[in-house]
Amino acid sequence: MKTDSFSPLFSLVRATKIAPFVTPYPIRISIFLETTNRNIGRLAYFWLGEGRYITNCTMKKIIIHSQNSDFGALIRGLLADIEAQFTITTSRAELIRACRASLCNLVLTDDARMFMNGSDTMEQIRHGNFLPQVFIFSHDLSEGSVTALLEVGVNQFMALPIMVERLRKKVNSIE
Amino acid sequence: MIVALNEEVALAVALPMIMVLTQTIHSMRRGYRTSATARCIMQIAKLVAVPEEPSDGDIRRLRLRFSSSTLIDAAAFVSEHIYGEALYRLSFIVEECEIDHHLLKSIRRATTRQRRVKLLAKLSQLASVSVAAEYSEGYLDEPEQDIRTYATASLIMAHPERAIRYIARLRHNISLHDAAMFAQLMRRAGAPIAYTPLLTSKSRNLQLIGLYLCEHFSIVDAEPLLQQLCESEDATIAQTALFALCTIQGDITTPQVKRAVERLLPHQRDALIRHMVYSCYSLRSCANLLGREERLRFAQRLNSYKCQIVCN
Repeated sequence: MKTDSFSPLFSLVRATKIAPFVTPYPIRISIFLETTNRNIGRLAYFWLGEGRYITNCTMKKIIIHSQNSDFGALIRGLLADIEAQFTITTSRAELIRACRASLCNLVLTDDARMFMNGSDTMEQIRHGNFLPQVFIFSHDLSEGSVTALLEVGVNQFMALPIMVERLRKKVNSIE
Repeated sequence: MIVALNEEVALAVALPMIMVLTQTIHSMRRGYRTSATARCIMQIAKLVAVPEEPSDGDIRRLRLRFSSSTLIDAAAFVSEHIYGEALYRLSFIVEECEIDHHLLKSIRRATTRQRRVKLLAKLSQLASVSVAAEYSEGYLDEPEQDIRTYATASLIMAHPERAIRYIARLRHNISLHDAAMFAQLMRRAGAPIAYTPLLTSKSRNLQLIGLYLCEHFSIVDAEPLLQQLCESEDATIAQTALFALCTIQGDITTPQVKRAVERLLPHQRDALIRHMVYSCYSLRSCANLLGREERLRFAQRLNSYKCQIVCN
C-alpha cells in the first residue's frame, strides 16, 4: 500500500473540524480541481469531501478520470469551450469522492477495468437518486468487453482515437 | 585515529544524503516534465478543438511557453488520440511551431538506437501531418530492425498508397505486433486494404498483415485461404492462420487444421484450447484435435464459462 503523506494532515483537520472556517470561496475550488498537480488536486478534493463547499452554479459538472494525466489533460483541452465545471481525478478514490461531493452530470474515463469483474464502482458513482452519465474511452473493441460495459450501465462507449466533433456534440447534449 | 574516524563518519552521513538529494532532484525534474507535457497537451487540444485556425498569438504563446521536446511529445500524443478534421488543424500547429523540423534534427542527432527508435515512433504518429516523414526513407536500410520498422511506419502514414510496397521492402520478418501496427496505420491513413492480395502474396510480412485483418474484422469469406495458410511452412503464419480460423468460427475438422495443430508446441496448444473455448467451439468439434488430458482441460474451461455451446 502506498504511503500517503497527506493522510496525517487530513486526519488532523478532520478531527479538529477546522475545514468550515478555512475553506476558500467555493468557486475557486474549481481552479484547484482542474490542476494537473496531483497533491494540490487532492487537497481540493479533501475540502470538497467535507460536503459543504459545493458550488451552487447551474453549469454542467463533468468529471474527467484517468490515471494517465496526459489523457485527462487531452480530454479537458478538447472540451475547452464547453460551459461546464470540470474536475480531473487520477485515482478511483478521488473519483468516488468527487462524484459524491459535486453531484456531477457526466463522468468521462478511460479506465474500463474499474467497472469489470464484479466491482461496485458504478453503484458508488451513482448513489441514491443521482445518476450521472458515464462515457468510456477505450482501444478494446472486443464484443465481450463492450457488452459487459453496457450491461454494467455505461452510457456511451467511445473508441479511441476520438473524433473531436462527435465528442463535443455528445457532451453538449448532456443536460 | 579520532580524525580518521570522524572523516569516515562524515562520509557515511554525507553519501546517503547526496544520493537522496540527487534522487529528489531527479524525481522533481521528471514530475515537472510530466506536468509540462500535460499542460502542453491541454493547450494544443484547446487549439485543435475549435473549428477556426489557431491565431498567430496562440502559436507564439505555445512556442514561447514550451520547449521543443515537450511540443514534440505533446503533439505526438494528441495526434495518436484524435482523428478526423482535428488532425488537419493539428498539422497547421505542427508546421507553424516547426515541430517536424525539431523532430528531424533530434533524429539526426540521436546517438543511441533506443532514442532513434523512440523518435521515429513519434514521427510515425506525426507523419500524417508533416512532410518530414520522407526523410525517414533513408532509415529503411539501417541494420537495426526496430529503426527499419518505425521508419516504415512513418512512411506508411505519410504515403498510405505505397504502404504495401514499403512493407514488402522490409528485409526482416515482422512480428504480429508490428503487423497489427502497420494495419492500424494503414486504416488510419485511409489506405484501401483488400485481404485477398495480402493473403495470397508471396511476402511473409504481407501475409501476416492479411491474417491480422481477417482476425480483427472477422472476415468469414477468407476461410478457404486461411485453411490453405494453416499448412504454411512458416510456423508463425500457420499458427496465426489457425487462430484467425477459430476467431471466424471456421471449420476445424479439416485435415489441414489437424496437421497444423499437430505441429504446435505444448504451450501453443494450450493457447489454442483457450482460444477455441473463447470462440465458442464445442468439445465434440475439437475432440479429434486434442489428446485425452487436453479434452479434460477444454471441458473444465468450457464449464467455467457457464455457457451453452452449440456444436459447430
